[in-house]
Amino acid sequence: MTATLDDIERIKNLRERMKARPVRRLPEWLKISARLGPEYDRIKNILAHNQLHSVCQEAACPNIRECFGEGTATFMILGSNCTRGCRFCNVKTAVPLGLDTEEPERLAKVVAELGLKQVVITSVTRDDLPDGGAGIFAETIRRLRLHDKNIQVEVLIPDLMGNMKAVDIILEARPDVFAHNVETVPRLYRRVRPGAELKRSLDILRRADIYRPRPVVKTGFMVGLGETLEEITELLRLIYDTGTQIVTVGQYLRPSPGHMTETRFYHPDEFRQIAAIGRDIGLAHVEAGPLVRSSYKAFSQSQKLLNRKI
Amino acid sequence: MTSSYKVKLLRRHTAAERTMAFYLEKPDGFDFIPGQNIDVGLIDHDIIDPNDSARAFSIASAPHHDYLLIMARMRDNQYKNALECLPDGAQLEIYGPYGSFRLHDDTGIPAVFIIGGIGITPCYSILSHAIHEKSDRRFYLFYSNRTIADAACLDELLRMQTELVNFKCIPTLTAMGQSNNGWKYEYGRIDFAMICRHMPDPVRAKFYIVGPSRMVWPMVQHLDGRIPRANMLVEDFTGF
Repeated sequence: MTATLDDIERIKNLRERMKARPVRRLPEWLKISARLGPEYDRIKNILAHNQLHSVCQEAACPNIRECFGEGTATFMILGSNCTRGCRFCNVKTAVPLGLDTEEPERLAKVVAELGLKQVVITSVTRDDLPDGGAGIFAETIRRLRLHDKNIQVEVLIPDLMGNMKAVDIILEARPDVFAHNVETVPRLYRRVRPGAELKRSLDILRRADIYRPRPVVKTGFMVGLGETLEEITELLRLIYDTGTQIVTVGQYLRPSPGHMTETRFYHPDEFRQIAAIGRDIGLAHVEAGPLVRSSYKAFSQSQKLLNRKI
Repeated sequence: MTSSYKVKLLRRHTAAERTMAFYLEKPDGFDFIPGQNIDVGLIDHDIIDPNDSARAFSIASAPHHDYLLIMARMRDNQYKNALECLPDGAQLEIYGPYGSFRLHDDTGIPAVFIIGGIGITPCYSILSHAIHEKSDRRFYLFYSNRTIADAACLDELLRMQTELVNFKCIPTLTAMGQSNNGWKYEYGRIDFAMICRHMPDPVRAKFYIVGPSRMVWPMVQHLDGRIPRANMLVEDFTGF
């Protein structure tokens, strides 16, 4: 629709109101250097050349410079269009452009080219596919192992609409680390993740825990969306009950003015407190910090557990 | 910019079988684009499950209206029951607006809405806005419901055809026999053949598919290969 006089007036008013609002200032511990190194450009170019996507770019991850700078990336398969519209997420909501069955092999070749020994694979949600894209996840793991049988693979999967047959397809491909994020506390679920259910996510983690051979099971959530410490503690207990071993907790950072607003910025000491609560509950590893993201330094979190995997 | 606002429930009425329309006070400075949605939070937490105290609704009113209109299928759950029982004047908390579901810019390309049931709400907002703007762009609405009684805003949508010069409304019923007296529109599920009967050259149009998952994704698959996927936009109402 071309802009009408009404639209122009509305946009003008909106701009004026936005100008009148206090500028969102990040606390010191969330300020990140904007310096981009040569590794950043190298990985970005390789991904673009091979029509691959990294969640680092699509989700506007605050750690992108550090991870790309160290030669690691979290690959996002199944395209860059997501079928859900989660209120915290920067990935584009749109009808996915078909299914790219060549993607697993292309990705495996790029991982080999980059010389990666550990790789994290995640995806957009694909509610348009009967298996939610599980088959492509499994094929990607298989292709990665064909190129390097010692490679360590972490998968961070969507909820697959709770289709446990699809979950099993991925588990049968034997990822080293199986991750699925619960994202937020029960009370905020409907607002933060429309179309998702906490019970469904907990069931997926439980399924991975009882699968043999068992992968390291991992989840993550954000704080700063309006939850209380009691609710965080309750969520950590629910996660513990699923058999999950690793939990990541990070500060929610609104990716654009159209996304949910941060209700507050947690101090690093508060993250330490959350990690201590998790450990007291019995979780094997809680990685909590302002800039912690699910796949941030993923294998340093899981290495000890990988060494004593069942 | 998204924000939260305390607003009053102004009034409500029955919009269709098991479907209520709620008129909410529009806060000062609240701005949105037709097609966007808001979360509506119930403030009195004692009467409902705290884990189900806010839900997302597409805004059915247009930006020029001095109220916010939402519509809800009244299923038997704590949130909907609590919402239904609220007296006029009760306070609610709204958050938003959210969402990237909005009309494409090129007015030369027709917009085709493929709507299932209560998925009509964002489309209703877009069409109301188009009337207000005296838009002459081409709109086609394929509106699927089980029965006439289920079809929210059907009379208003049919009437909009007289107010919007290039708008065509094609309602269809999926659970009624063709013997139903007086119904002069379509029967059965929306498919490509039905679309082609009512509009020329659908391949050039932008498609907006809105409804529950069980309708939206099979429709995308059905249209795949006939309509470029890049020309489809969906709004999946599951869990809303």
